[in-house]
Amino acid sequence: MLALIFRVLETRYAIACRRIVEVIPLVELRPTPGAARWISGNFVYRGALTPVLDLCELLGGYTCPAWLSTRIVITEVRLDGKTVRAGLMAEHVTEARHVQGQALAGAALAAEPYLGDLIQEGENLLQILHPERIDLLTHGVSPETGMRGSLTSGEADRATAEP
Amino acid sequence: MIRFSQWKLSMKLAVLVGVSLLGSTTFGLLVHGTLDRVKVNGPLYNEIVSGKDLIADVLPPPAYVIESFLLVFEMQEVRDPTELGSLIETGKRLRSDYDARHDHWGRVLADGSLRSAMLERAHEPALRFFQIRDTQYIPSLLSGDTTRAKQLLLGPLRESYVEHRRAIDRVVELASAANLALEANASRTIEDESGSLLLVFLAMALLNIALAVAITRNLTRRISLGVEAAKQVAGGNLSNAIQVDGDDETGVLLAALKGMTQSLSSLISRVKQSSVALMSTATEISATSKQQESTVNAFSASTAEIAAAAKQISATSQELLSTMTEVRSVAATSAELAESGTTGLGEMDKTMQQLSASTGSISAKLSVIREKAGDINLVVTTITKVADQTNLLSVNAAIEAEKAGEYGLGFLVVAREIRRLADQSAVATLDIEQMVRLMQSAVSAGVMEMDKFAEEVRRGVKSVAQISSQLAQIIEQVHSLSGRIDLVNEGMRSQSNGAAQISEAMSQLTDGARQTAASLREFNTATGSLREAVGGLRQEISHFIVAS
Repeated sequence: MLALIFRVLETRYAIACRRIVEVIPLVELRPTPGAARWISGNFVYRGALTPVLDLCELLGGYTCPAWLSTRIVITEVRLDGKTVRAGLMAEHVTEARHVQGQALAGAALAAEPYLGDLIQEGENLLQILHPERIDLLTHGVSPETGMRGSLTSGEADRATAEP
Repeated sequence: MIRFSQWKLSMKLAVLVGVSLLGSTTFGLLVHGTLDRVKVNGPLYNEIVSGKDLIADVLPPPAYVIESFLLVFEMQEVRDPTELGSLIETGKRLRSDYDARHDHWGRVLADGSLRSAMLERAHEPALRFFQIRDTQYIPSLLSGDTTRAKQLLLGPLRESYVEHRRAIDRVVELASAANLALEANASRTIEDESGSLLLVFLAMALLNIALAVAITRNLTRRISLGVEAAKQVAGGNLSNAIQVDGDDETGVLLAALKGMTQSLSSLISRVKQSSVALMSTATEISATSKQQESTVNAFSASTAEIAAAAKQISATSQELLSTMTEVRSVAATSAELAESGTTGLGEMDKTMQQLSASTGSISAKLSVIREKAGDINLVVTTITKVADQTNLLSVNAAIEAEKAGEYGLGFLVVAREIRRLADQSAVATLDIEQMVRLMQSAVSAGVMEMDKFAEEVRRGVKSVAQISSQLAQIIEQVHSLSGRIDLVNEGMRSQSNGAAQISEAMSQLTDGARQTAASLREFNTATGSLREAVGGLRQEISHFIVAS
């Protein structure tokens, strides 16, 4: 599977390239007051208003620094049961390559539904991220409500991981 | 005859008292005679009283209505109306006279039996008389009723008159008694006064004589005191003190005499003291002049010694002169050395200036290098941006290739290559960046070093200038030193001459000392004669006796 690799706090994540519309450099975002912390703002992408999620904030608890390698991945997420286009901001977005290796068996203990399988690549671990499972309204509203997500079985991932 | 100014003082005072006694006796006799002539029942008094009696005998008194009564009788007989009118007028005038006199006595008389007799008992019937005459008698006469008039005349008018006359008799009696009493009183008073006058006169005369005697005694006593004192002063005795009492002219004279004696006495005692002091001073002068004589002899010996010392000084200054000449040559050599040092320093200064200029140009070049490094940095940034864009392009290309499926597989390989190139160029730019940073820090360090060096060069230039100026001062001082050495030489020479002159002067001084000794001996003789003169003065003064 071809996947886009990025890092949060030295932890590697991957997003399947099939889910990605485009990777664009950092643009100026319009702030959205009152929104959740990881909503960095929104901007106009191909004539439509597009919200941007800060993955550094969502996964690591810090705001993405403005490096050249910090980029926005245009993809689709869920909003109120529908699929909408959104940008995911992340650090070290410089590589798209084939991911090989087996998903590790055992309990992944992933609390959020958008976290997928853990794959071993030599000595490093790589976690698959499912952007289509991110819900803009429900995710991370509060720790209690956030517990709604269940342990992922990994079936869907396996299905999609197959080319 | 002796003149008045030659009389004794007591004589003059006796004459004064005699004259005043004679005058007062004459005055007393005159007063006594006058009193005797004008006393009551005296000749003058009797003359005045008889004059008054004559007038009283001839003229009817207005206060007595006898004339009015006679006039009423005359009216009874007159038949002519004009004559009657004039009689009535006379009656009216008599009444007004009576009223005027009555008022007069009312004011004059003192309270007593005389006043009541005159103003009450005599007045009341008189008033009644006048009233009957004017209201009843004269109207009945004018109407021609002569019988009624006669009745009135012989009746009430006559009764009133008689009563009035009795009262007047009583008044006369009382007045005569009062006059007699007054006369007796007056003559008694005059007798008393004459006695007291005589007494006063005798007392005054006695007092006069006593005062004259006292004043004479006082005056003559003080003047004889003064005369005695003056006689003693003339005889040379100044020790007696003069008693002074009283502030009058003789007292002042005695006080002046006393003051004169005292000042004379103090003068004489001061002269005595001064002569003693003068004597001792003359003795001292004599002793001092003897001492001076010996001192002059010692002085003569000292001058000889000084002359020898002056000769030695002359020799020493000659030696010093040669030494100074040597010093002068050494100073000239050091001045030459200092001058050559100055030229060397001038060259060094020039070199330093050149070094400073070169340092400036190196600094300028270094700053150009820094600018260039900045340019390189710009280029590196541009390359980095291009590499970034290329990387992004490769990622997107890979994504698109994946979406294209099998058709995109070749394109995926191309995308991977592009990404590799981009990564390589990014690494290269990193290397360049590193190098440029190193270069920049090196240049900065160089600039700093150059600045330090330039500062040191400047300091060197400054110290060279200081040394140069100090050398110039040394040269100047050496030059001035040679001038001063000349002066010293000159001074030495004149000192040598001066020493010779001093030696000569000393020998002259010795001669002078010898002459001084001779004159001191003469001075001693003069002092002896002074002592003799003072002795004579003391003898003269010893005639005066002065209270110690």
